[in-house]
Amino acid sequence: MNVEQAIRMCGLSKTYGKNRGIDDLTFDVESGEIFGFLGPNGAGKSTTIRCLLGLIRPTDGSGSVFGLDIVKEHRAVMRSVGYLPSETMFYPDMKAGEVIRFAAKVRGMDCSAEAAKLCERLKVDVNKRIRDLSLGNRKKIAIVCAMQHKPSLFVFDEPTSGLDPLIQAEFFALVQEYNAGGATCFLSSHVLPEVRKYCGRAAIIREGRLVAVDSLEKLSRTNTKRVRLEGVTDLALDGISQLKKHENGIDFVYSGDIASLLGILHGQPIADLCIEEPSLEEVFMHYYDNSDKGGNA
Amino acid sequence: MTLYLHELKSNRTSFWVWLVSVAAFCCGTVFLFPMTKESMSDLSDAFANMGGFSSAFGMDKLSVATLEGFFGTEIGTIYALGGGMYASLLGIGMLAKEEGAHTAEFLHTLTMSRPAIVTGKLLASLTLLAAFGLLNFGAMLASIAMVGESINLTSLTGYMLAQSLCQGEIFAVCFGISAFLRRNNLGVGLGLALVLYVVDIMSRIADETEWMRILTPFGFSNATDIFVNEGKMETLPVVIGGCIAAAGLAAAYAVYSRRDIST
Repeated sequence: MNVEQAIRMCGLSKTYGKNRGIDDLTFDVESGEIFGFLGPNGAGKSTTIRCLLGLIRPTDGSGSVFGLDIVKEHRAVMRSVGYLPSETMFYPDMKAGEVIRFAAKVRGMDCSAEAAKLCERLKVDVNKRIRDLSLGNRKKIAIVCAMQHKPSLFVFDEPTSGLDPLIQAEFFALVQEYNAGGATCFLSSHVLPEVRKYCGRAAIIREGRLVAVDSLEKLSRTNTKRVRLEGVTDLALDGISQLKKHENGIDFVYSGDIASLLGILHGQPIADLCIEEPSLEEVFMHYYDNSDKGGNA
Repeated sequence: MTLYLHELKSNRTSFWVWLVSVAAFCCGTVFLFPMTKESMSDLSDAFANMGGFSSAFGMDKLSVATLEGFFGTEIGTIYALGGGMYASLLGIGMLAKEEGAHTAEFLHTLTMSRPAIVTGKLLASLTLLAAFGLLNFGAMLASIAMVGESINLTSLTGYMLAQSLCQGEIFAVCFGISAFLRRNNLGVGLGLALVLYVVDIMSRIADETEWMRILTPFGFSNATDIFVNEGKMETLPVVIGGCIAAAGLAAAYAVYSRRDIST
């Protein structure tokens, strides 16, 4: 069993009849890393996660978690996984503490000490019934259920939605502590600052297809540039995106041959020119951009 | 075991509501018997000679002036319908409710395999159905003793056993259907139970429709037939019913183990 890769996907695909889900995803998540998984709504992030966790069956390709096949060895896979879904729902008549104990019992483990620690740090009221809890409080219970058995792999799908800033900070403190202990984290998120702050590598998915996977440093260091021009009010060139006009000029993100850009700028009434590395957000917006130009940077 | 206990606990309210309701109707009807048996003896011949209507409710085979006859025509109908509806509702929601209540993602991302989930829910349901039958049996015996009447115990035991098999078959078919559904659809379950009951009634009205009795578990578990035969059931319909139930359970395992789970 090769445990260097916590997650391995080889051509993983899922279609719903004629509708696209994910198409030919191939990438690895290394053991011990915090890996970001980015994409706009409907890109296929949740479909990928649901394939990994055996909720849906891939139509093609394969996947493994710590060398275990996600379809054939689902139960063994789930022993090493702690999953936090984006929207959490439990049995409404149960108390929070009962849900947490139920999850541990199904796993055949006594997680009471770790659960108590997590409940204290996340301020979970174990005596409240699920039906009386807000989305944020249900999410805190889901965090406890995902972490109490100290899994080797965490799968988080939009983990901070619904959580207040203090609990968000506590959540990431816990993630970092488990990660320091050797756990791997697969973090699907829309929140770029989260990914930038905590992830070493990331994959970007758009319309079900993988468009980039690399370290955040390398993803940011593309041939994409942020260009600001004073004295020019319009410019047409392949590779320009996110064009914004302002009082005395324009600024845009350019991904293409820099010589072509300089060539078209020659002879323009330029008062000032600034070419710089784009912010991480701009890089991701470039990848998210629904055009054929995106994704090749 | 954890899921089994969880299902017993989460179904306890509906179990007690159905148990108390059905037992109250059945026992209440037993309590009426001493008050009606005198007048029933005058009407017994008339009830037995109403053609298809008499056949449909078994009044041509047993006298309603006896407790066996009264049980077969009145109490048996109440218990068959009540038990059938409870079994259908239990089965139709057992698998589908997880997706309907959005708890499937939680349950399926723990460490239980899909067949283990089906087994846990199946065993909990069978336990509830067995308890439903036994407690109703006890309530009926107690109510009969309370009114100072006696009944052929072999016939009553055979009838309650037949009803449990009937409920088991209805449950199994609904459980199989539940594996296809993405939310608890009570209408499908109740509708199925009522259709099966009506098919049994139709099969008893005319000779041309008698073959339909083999299609429904209410056929082999009919109270008047069992009381006339002193507790014995026809073998072939029971075997066919067992095959239909096995097909329902097999469908539940096969479909639920492979299909995509929505969240």
